[in-house]
Amino acid sequence: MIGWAKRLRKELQEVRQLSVEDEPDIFLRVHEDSLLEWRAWIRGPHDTPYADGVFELEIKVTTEYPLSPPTVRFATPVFHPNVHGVTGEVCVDILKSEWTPAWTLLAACRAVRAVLEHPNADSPLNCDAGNLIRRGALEEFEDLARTAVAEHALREIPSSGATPSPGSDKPRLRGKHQGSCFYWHYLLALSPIFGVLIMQAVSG
Amino acid sequence: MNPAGDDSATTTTTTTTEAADGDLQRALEASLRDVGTMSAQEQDRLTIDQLNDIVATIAQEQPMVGAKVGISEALAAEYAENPMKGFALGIDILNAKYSAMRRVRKDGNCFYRGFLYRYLEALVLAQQQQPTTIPELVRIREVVKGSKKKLLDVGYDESAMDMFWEMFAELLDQVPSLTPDALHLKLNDEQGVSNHVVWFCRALSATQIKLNADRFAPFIMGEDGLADVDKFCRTEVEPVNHECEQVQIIALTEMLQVPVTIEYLDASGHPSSIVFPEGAHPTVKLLYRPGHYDILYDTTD
Repeated sequence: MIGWAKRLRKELQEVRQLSVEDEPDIFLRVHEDSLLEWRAWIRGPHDTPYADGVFELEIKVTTEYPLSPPTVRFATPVFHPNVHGVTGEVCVDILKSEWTPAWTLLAACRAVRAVLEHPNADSPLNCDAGNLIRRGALEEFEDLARTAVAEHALREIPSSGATPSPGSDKPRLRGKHQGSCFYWHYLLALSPIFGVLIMQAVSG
Repeated sequence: MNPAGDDSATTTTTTTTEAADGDLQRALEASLRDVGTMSAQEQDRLTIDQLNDIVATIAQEQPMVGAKVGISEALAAEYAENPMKGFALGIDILNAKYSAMRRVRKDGNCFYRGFLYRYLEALVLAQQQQPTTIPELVRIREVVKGSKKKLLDVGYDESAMDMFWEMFAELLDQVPSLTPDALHLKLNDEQGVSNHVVWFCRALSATQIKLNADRFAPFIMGEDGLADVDKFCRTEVEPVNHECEQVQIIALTEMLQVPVTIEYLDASGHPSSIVFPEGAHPTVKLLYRPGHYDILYDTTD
C-alpha cells in the first residue's frame, strides 16, 4: 500500500527531532535502514519492579501499516503477565483489536510501557506471572520480575542507538540453557506456594 | 455553520441501529464457540487472527464497491426464500423509487465507503459537465483544508494524520481529471488510496464528535452510564473495520456538510427513509439493511 512509506518517513522525521528531554523514557529508531523494522528501548516505570531496567523492543511493520498495527515484542526477557515468556510477545489492546491508524509507533511504545506499569493478571500471556498476582503473592511476583531485570535488562537507554545492546544478541528464553535457568529461578520462588498446596492436599 | 444542529441529533438517535456487518458478525460468533479452554489473551489473539482472515476473505470475494445493478435484480433473489414477506414488499417500493444500487464490501467500512464513493462520483459527474471548477468542489476542498487544524486541535498527532489528510486532498484535486470509471477503479484499488481516504472519514467523524462533545455525549453513553467521548472515538469510530452507528453518520455529515438519505429496509414492508440533517436534499442515498449499507441511485440519477 502506498501510504506506509509516506507515513513512516513522517514518523521517522518526528522521532529524530525528539530530544532526551522530550521523551526521557523511550528511544525509538529505525533498524538497519529498513522503514519496516524498528527498535525501541523503554525505561521501566518508576515504582515498579522494572524501574531499574531498560527493555529493548522489536517492532515490525507491514506495508498495510498504519491501517494494520505494528507487531511489538520484547527482545529483552521480562517477567510480566502480559508478556509471553518465550516469544516476548506483548498483549496490548491498542496493538490488537483497538489499534487505530491515529496511533504512531511512538504511541505504541508508550502503551507498552504503560503495560509494564499496569499488569493485567486476568488474561495473562504468562500464566505464572498472572497466577502470582491473582493469588496476591505480589512479593514473589516482584522478586521474580526484579531477578529477570537484573539478569537480562539494560541499565541505560543506548545513547545513539548505534551501540548494539548486550541483550539483543543473546539467545532468548527459548535458548535451552538460559530458559531452564530462568524458569528455575521462579520455580524456586514458587516452591512455598507448592508447599502450601501440598500441605493442604495432605491435611485434607 | 452546523446544518444538523441539536434537534436532528436528538430525533435521530432514537433509531440507533444495530451496527454490525452481518456476515462478519456471524462468522466471528461461530469462531468463538470452541475456545473455552484457552486463556483470555490466547482467545483474543485467536479472535483477531480470525477476524483478519474473515476480512481478507471478504476482500477477495467482494469488490470494495460493485457495479451498478437494478434494485429488484439485486435484492429479489436474496430475499426470495425469506419467510418475512415484508422484505419483498419493501423491495417493490424501493424499486419504484430508485433505479439502481451498488453493493458495498461488507467489511465494517460500508457506511463510510458507500458515502464517500457516491459523493465523489456525483462530484466527478457534475464537474465533467462544466468548464470551470464547480462551487461544490471548491467548497469541499476548503472544508478538507480547514479540517487539518481541527484534527490537531482535538489532539491527533500530526505525524499520524498528515498522510491521510494529504491523500484526501490529492484525491479532491484529481476530481476534474477523473471520469466516473476512473474513479471507480481508483476506489476499488486495494493497493491505492481507497482504504486511506475511507479511514480519513472516520477521523473526520471522530473530530466532529470531539469538537462537539457536549452535544454528542448524551448519545454515546457507556455501560457505566457515563459518556466518555474520547474512548468512544478510540474504540467505536477510529478502529479500521468498526461498524458505524448514527452518531458517526451525523458527525460526518456535519463535518463535511454533505447530507445523506438512508432508506431502511426491514421486514415491516414499509421502508422508512431518514435524512441527515433533516430537511436537506441529499444526492448521496444509501440503503440500510440491518448491519449493512449499500449505495442507491434515484430514478433521475
